[in-house]
Amino acid sequence: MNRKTKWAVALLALSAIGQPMWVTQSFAATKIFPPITDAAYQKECGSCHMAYPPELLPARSWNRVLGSLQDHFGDSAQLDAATQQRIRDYLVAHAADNAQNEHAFAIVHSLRANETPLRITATPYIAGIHSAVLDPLWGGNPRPKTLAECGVCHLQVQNGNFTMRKFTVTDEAFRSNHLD
Amino acid sequence: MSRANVVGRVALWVLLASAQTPNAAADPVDDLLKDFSAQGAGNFSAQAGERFWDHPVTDPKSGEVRRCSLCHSTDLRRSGKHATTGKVIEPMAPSVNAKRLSNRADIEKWLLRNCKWTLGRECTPQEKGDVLVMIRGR
Repeated sequence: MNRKTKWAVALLALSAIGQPMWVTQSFAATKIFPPITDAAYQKECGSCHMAYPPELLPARSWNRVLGSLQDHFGDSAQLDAATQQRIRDYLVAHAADNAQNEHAFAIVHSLRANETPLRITATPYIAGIHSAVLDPLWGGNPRPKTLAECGVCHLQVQNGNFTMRKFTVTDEAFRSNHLD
Repeated sequence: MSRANVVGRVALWVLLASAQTPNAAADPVDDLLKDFSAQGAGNFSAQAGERFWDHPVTDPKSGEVRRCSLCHSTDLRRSGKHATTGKVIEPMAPSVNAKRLSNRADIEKWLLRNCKWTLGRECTPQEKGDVLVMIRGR
């Protein structure tokens, strides 16, 4: 067999197989969160704050949140036992450690095994990304008081998209805060 | 089955159906006011509800001054803003937001939760009745 024939045979073999094997092993993770599908979660939790994608906290954190609703960050968010269990099941089933999502993966791996934060913004990955926003010297716009309403900057949050975001920081604002 | 019999049966069903409708559509606020009266409250007044809505209460833990209107605004036809999270709260007035005062369980849940946060205690039947009458008129 000469060189040309060898190449032809190799090409034929490849096309017969179709896709090379290593390509079929695709990475299923995405950066987009699926829509909230539980009506009770949307109604009971989403009245006071955005119904956060459950993928933003690990299951152990959701269990802690649902176990302390009588003092939910200083407010009573108490639910009847059946609704509480239903919401807990939904959140745990879709929690960060059960999700195929790049952000969820990063959140889980930014935490130590013995850490169970109650706040999404207390996970090192999310806190790190947003540290400048809560810095009193940040002269950007918008200037949220807390990070509770993601939609202030994440304009596509209703579609589970945190990648598209909008805020401005001007050098004038920076100077007025830093160089007085 | 005779023809008169069939007509009679149809008439009976129509009667039964029309008799059931008013029960199903009973106003949850009227229901609650009846219960509050049974607990010794009465003479519910929108004026008292209005005073209650704006009455300031200092939270002993945080030192914050809280009142209903802090999150729900003094003009019930406009939307409010959650004091902690900043989430927009839809208007309370049934005249612009038909969902308000339409479900008894929801009314009871929010009165319990929000009285506890705002006043540090549950509201009395009189306070709840006054404020419901006030909201209903908006």
